[in-house]
Amino acid sequence: MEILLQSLDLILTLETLLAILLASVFGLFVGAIPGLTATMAVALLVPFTFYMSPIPAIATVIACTAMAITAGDIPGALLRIPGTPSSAAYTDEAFAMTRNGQGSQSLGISLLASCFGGIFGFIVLATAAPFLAGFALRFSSFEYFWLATLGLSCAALVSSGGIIKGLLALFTGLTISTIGSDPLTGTPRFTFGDLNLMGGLSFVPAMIGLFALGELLKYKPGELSAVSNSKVTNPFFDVLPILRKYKKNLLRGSMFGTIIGALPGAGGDLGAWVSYAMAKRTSKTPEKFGTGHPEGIVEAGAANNSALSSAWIPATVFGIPGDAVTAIAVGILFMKGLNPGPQLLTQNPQNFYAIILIFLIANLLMIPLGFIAIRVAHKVFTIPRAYLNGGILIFCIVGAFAVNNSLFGITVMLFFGIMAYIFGLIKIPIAPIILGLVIGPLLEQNFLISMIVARGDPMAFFTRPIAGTLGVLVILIWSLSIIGKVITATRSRS
Amino acid sequence: MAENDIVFKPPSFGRGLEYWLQVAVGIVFTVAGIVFIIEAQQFRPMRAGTQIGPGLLPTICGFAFIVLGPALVISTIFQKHRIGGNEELDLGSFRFIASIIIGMIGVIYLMPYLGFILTCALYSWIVTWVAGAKWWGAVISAVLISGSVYYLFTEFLRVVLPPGIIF
Repeated sequence: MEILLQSLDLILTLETLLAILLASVFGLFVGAIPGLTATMAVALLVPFTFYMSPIPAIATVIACTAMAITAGDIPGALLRIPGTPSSAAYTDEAFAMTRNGQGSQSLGISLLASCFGGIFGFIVLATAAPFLAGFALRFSSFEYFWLATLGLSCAALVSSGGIIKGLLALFTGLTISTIGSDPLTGTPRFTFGDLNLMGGLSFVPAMIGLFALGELLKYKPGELSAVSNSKVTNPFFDVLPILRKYKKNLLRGSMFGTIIGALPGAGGDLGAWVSYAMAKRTSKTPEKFGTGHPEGIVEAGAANNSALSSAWIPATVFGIPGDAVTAIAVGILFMKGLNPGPQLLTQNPQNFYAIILIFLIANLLMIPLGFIAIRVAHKVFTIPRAYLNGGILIFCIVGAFAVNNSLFGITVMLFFGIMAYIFGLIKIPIAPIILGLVIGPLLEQNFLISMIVARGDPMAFFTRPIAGTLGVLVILIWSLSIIGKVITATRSRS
Repeated sequence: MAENDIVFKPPSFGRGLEYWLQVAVGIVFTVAGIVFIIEAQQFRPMRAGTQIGPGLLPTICGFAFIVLGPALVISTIFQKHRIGGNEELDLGSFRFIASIIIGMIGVIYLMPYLGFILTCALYSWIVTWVAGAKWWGAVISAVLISGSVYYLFTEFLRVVLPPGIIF
């Protein structure tokens, strides 16, 4: 109880509440604009977090992501252009509802379902994380090595584009993480005598380049001029009876989303797709799907936001991020001295509970702010992208510069932006790069420590029960994926 | 796309641009892998006679690139029927991309002399204008955004942004 009060003390400050409110409005704005993703919104906000206390800094990330993903449903329903990838699974369904004159209802359903899913994920995070933290306290470098490997493996295998491209992205991130001084001996690696590279590449300019500049380079002038003519009235009108009717879907979507979100590399997009498919498969009226049926929207809408909360379980408990947003958050936690891992829950539990309470606040705020966003969405759509691009670029520059007060940050951002553009053309996923970049030092440090402890014997990685189990799990995941690929390739050839 | 925009169509030599791009990226990864392994051998291991030390992860990454780079090339060659021509590869707008990249290089070199506000206003104006906005609208938005960002970061967040030596 005392810890909870301390957590509330940390949250109920003007700085934190203002950070939540402003980040929410920013997230809603960015999420509502097609082509700008939740990750991009977070990437643009990171420079502001440098100058905040730890809890408001994390609050900014949480509130912004939750709102951006929810707001992504608005252009999906009104323009048939998903605002963020998480909304893509049910965009056609939501747009079909809009064509049937139920646009407001479709948005109301996805908003309330998102809120429910988010709160469900919050409850799971609040209950599962302390239990897992107690378990994680017994971890040594062997377990952490396997856990990092498991996270990276899942990220590479689940990512779009296939195993080869996923792995290439992952190893690109890992390689970049080796630039700078070696974590154990301090040996400079790939620095070419440049002082800017001695401390390694800052992940903030890299992330802004990958997620903001890379996205911007894909923009085609004059591409977006579609403005929906559908009238948006009260989005909550007649929505509750629909949610009551599909309460099973609401619960199942939240559960699936939570499970999928907790898996490294999976994230809300996958949660929404799986949940939508599940809703269709188990529906009594599957023929209605695609014609403006709310069942799929209820389930997938709940799934994408519950995944958002549960993605923080591996990030906070083990310090191993599951997706790009939590990778950014882990970076911020390290930057602020709140090193993620079991110690966050055991030594500073008030910080951890403050973080998860922010999820609750953000999800509750979603209802009034989402309502306003839906009502003013038409005005947001009319802002020309050309003007937004100029603003985004200036934020990118100032963000990359402010990390070390150096123009080198802008060079790094430009390099990563061009890389993201080229990789995007040939469908090499971006998220594994940032995961590799963030998890790389953790993986390397734990691997080297383990090798020193084991005196170079690789079998030592399997002798401890938890490490052995995790190791076998990693090998199993890889074996099954490769066997599956071989079988698919053989079948398609024959 | 703007009416007078340059259509970016490099030669495709009978195959799609995506095909050649994948092949090129595969080769680049392979070469990078070899370079990483060679470079990694120069780092002194922590334990004599083993690989354990600063060179281990770069070596592993190098080997991964040597395996995955050719794998990407081979999979591209064998899946060539699935990879379409130029029309399927969405390259974006050449003028817009060029304005962003060249403009940003200009920002890196000019900011110490012109300062943050002027450099960013110029850059933002060019990019906004190229993206299809009216020139005067682009000027107003560029000046307003650059000025506001400068004020926000220097006054509220206490970030020292380059003031420039001209002003």
